[in-house]
Amino acid sequence: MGGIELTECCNLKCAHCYIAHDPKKKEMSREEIFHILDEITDAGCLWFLITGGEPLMRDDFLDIYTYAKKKGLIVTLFTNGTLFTPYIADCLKEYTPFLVEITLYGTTKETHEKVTGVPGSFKRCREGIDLLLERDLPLKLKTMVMTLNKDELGDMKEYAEELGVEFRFDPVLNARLDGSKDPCKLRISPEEVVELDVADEKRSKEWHKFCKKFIGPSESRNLYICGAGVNSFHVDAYGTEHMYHVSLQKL
Amino acid sequence: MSFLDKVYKKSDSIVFRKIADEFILVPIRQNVGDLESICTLNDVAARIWELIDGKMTVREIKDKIVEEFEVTPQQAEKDLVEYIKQLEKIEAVK
Repeated sequence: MGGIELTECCNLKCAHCYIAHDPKKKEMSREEIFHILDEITDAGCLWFLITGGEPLMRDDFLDIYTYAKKKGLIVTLFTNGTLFTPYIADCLKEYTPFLVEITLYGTTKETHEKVTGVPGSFKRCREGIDLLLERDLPLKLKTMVMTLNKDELGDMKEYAEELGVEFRFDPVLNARLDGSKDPCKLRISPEEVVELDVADEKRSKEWHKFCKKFIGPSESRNLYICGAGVNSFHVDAYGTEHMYHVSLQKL
Repeated sequence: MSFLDKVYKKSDSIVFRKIADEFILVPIRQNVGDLESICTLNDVAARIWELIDGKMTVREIKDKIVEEFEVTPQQAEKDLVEYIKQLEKIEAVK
């Protein structure tokens, strides 16, 4: 399994984002991405994530997406949801993804846009959600929980429930890849994270399961003890392969 | 027309993938969310898929399979007919 950042560009300016976009760097061309898709399918990749930045910022997003689908990849798409049009949604319906995950940052314009920094992004995100649900496309919602939006986490869960879609939250904000710790200042406290996990039935059950099996920290000498770099990979917008999307270590 | 004289071709909505030592058919248009629409093929099924080229008749494919695998013509025909009908049902071939 693996993933690709189609671009570091984004139409939002999220306060917590770990990406430090350098507009001077040249991103991969469509043909270079096609070549990567050829290579990874020859190598046996099946599960594939398309992310960014905001992948729909690329004019050739649909070309790349359908190319990936036609290679027989099982594609998941991460997006902020604001750039969907009826045409794009129709194309996704024709070549249905395994899953689309849209990130929501609140249930009010005020909170959502406090995070995204872009007026109008809340309305466009909700419109994107509607476009996908009208076509019965597989959708999950998620959020990054931080100081700016923690008070609307419950409301976001309810909103997802009303839509009949799954919802998850993630409190792990990473430092920016240029070294800035600004995103870290938005982290909620460890105690608040535990409180949220305990209050969430699914996460609480997962913690119980984990704690039953946990016998101590791993004694492995490897930096990564998950599948990173072994059975998974991540390609950045410039064609460099990494073990993980926030790892600066190149493969 | 006898079934054995029919010629089938692959649908462009299905992609054949070799992942490690396994062969699978992945539908590319519909949602594979439940993963039940992904078919795993054994060696013989994978070879039959390769032979479905829009030119070979079912009979010719059967003869090839008898030649390449340890199977009687009767068994090959029975299994081949059943397999192709399954592929037709999921619109993998037409």
